[in-house]
Amino acid sequence: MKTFKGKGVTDGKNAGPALVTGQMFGFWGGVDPATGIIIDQRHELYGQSIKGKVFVFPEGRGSTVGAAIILELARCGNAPAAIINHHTEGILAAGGILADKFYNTKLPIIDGLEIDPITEIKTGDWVEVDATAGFITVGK
Amino acid sequence: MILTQEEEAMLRGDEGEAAKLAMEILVKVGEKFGAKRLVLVASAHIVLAMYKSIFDAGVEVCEKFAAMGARFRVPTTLDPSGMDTQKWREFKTPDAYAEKQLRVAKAYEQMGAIMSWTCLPHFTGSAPRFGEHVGWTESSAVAFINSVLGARSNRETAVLDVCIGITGRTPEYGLHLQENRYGKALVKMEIGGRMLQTWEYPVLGYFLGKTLGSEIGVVEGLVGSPKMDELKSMLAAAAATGPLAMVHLVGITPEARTRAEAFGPNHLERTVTVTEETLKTTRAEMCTVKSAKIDLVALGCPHYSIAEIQNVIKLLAGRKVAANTELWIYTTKQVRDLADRMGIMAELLGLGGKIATETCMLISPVETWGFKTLMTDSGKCSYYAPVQCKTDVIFGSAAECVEAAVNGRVVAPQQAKSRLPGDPEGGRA
Repeated sequence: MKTFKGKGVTDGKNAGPALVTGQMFGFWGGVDPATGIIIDQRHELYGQSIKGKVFVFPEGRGSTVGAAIILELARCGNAPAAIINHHTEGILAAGGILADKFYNTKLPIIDGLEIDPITEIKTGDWVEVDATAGFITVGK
Repeated sequence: MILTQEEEAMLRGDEGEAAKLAMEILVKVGEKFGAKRLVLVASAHIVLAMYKSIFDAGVEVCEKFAAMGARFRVPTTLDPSGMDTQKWREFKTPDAYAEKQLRVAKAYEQMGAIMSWTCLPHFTGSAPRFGEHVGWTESSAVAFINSVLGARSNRETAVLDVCIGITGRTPEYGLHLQENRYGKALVKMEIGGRMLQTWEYPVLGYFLGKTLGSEIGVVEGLVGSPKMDELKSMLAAAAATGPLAMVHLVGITPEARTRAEAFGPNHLERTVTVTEETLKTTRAEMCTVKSAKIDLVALGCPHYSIAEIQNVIKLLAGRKVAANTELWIYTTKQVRDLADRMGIMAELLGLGGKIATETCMLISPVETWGFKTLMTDSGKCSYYAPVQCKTDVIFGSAAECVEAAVNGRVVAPQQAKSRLPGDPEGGRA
């Protein structure tokens, strides 16, 4: 169990198995909100589910409709447990805040960690994200 | 955050429940991004518009705001609709889907939106001026107004865009602040000093988005004078493959009259080189298959201009679209009306093509047609079509797209052959 400091982007605390990618990720066209499964065939995580996962990717990309997809994921109960980025852009941050506001779903998001989460966290690692306090705990 | 008296009043609920909710959301987002205050915006543009992309949650949120009595405080335009606003039945839109889209339209009518239904509000009467602060969504539009017009907008997102329209404000961070608008990465064009062909602009954009990430690039060495339509297409592709909100094009971007101006006080962090090989490799990436029977040629992502439609008519040269192949052009209502007045619409219909209005292939239920392979001249569409249209995709020039529409399969256009460097005949055709 190791703990690393970062910057909380949204509020909340949640845990789950990690799903890690070094590729950027866009929610629109990236994930089917009705299932939580990644549908972007150009992405290395194609076919995997983000539901209940601590989803680790460097940064968002693409469509600005992204927050609506996060809302629909929340509405359908398929949101990730938490998100860890190198750098969280406005789309994702707003998505997390809105999911809480409209669907009472906490989506803790953290970035700016003291480690590189892409290389230090492995898919399947159990990760707890406390975005309110600004740290993560990685177990094996 | 420091709020003005008027903003404090909104937050207390003095301006109604909707303004209160919108202000709460904006303040929360602003705090997370370290904004010191809100900035007044001249306009808002809303992507929470098309049912296909916003799903039931989006419909619920629009209706919630409308039911709270929300009214837009600044001119607020809408991104394209999830279906042709008039001929949605002709385009096989399921009734249940159409009903949701009509509910969204009704909510925005109540809120006083400008019912623009286009990704190009800046081409249809709602352009921001140089230095003006706006709160826009639509990734392609944000990239365009920052990079070409010199207006200031972050990549706002769905729902936040509604809040911005309601309050007339957005958190002041990111691209609203001068210090965040300078370049960091240099992009050097090393293609022998030649001009890019029209179709190469979206290829370059596709590469830039993927390569630059959220870093602001400075592109040096673009030769000639790119047309607005070429820049539109390039920036749309760039904002699809990456989180690109602004790129400096030296000599084109108002804030990049010189390379030094574009970098300002920043130090060069890295250099990216674009060669003939870069363009060739990127173009190959934009196609999921090399050759196939083409079921749908889809043009107009972003919405086609009247000049682009004229070009298609010229390329068709009176030839009919092949049986079992569709040629659809997506555009705004203004351009459609112009095409109608000019007789282009009738000519296109006569040759078997269609103009679809106020929507596009990515956000309308194209998948109900069961097309297998789609061809497009849009870099943005080439990226999203496999998921949104459930098709294979081939990217090509407008000329190649028209040849494919006429022949029903990919054919190298005769007259264009000699003008396509880096695009050997054996490449895809």
